[in-house]
Amino acid sequence: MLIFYSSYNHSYAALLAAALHLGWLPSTRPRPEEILALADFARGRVEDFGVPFLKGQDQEGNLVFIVGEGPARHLVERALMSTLILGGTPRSEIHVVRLDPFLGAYSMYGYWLTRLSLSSELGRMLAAHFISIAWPRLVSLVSQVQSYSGLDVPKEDIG
Amino acid sequence: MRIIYHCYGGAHSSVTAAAIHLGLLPLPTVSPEAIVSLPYFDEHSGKELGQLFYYGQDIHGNDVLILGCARLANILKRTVRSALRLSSGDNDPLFINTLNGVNWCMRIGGFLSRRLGWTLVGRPLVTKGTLRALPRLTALVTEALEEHVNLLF
Repeated sequence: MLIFYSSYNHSYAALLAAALHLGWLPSTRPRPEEILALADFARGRVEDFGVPFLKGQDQEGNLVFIVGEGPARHLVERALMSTLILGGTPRSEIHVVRLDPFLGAYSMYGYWLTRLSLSSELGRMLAAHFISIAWPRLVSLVSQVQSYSGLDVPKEDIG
Repeated sequence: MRIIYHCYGGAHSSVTAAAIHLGLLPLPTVSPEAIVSLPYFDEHSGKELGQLFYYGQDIHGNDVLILGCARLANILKRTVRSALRLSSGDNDPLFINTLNGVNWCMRIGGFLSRRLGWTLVGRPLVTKGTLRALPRLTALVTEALEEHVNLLF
């Protein structure tokens, strides 16, 4: 299965969701330093909007991608789905998870704090802090995705 | 190879250009009915923006597709390119922007029909505009394909 975590900029919520899915981050709320240890965090560029980046393979062999929608939102999801299907990938093998409607403002706060900060490192720290507030929601969502994709998930992680 | 005609809504100029490419229109004399009866002509709404549609295969075996991009063609081209590489290991598709062939009659008619749902007024207007735009769209298709000589029909 191909799993795409998408958010406005791929290097925020989508990256953290993928990291959680792949076991790089814990299901308990991480410290900002743990999030900042992800080198790509908050470093996505506008030119990367629309491009899916492969982050790894989970224990079930599912490929986990992240993608930034930018202002294109639903259109990136439709483009991904329709193109993959036309290219021969079965519909049942594609799972696009849009995070921004789920995480709401937390993800956007992080993104704009980084853009508006005088220091990019300060912006990254603030973004890490804000997104970590929404950690339980993220864990719940990723757990559902993992369960859907065939991974054994501890019951307490599913919201 | 995959050739993707893209415009704003994926309902008028891209559809017509794809039809020209595939020889579905009896050029040079085309009736309004021939335009309206084209597959997908004046059909797609905002819910189909971003969705890639297969239109047909030309005599050289190239797949011809259409895509409505709104004003986000740069982003969606990257997505489509990446997804094609992922699913079928494809080389880069050829993207042809048909917006340069669009006239005001098509813009207004398309807006009335697709955005407002006033098809009784909008459809005849966009059809009329498309008929006027045929020489320009034909030139656009021919010029784009001449850059890839082996794709000429």
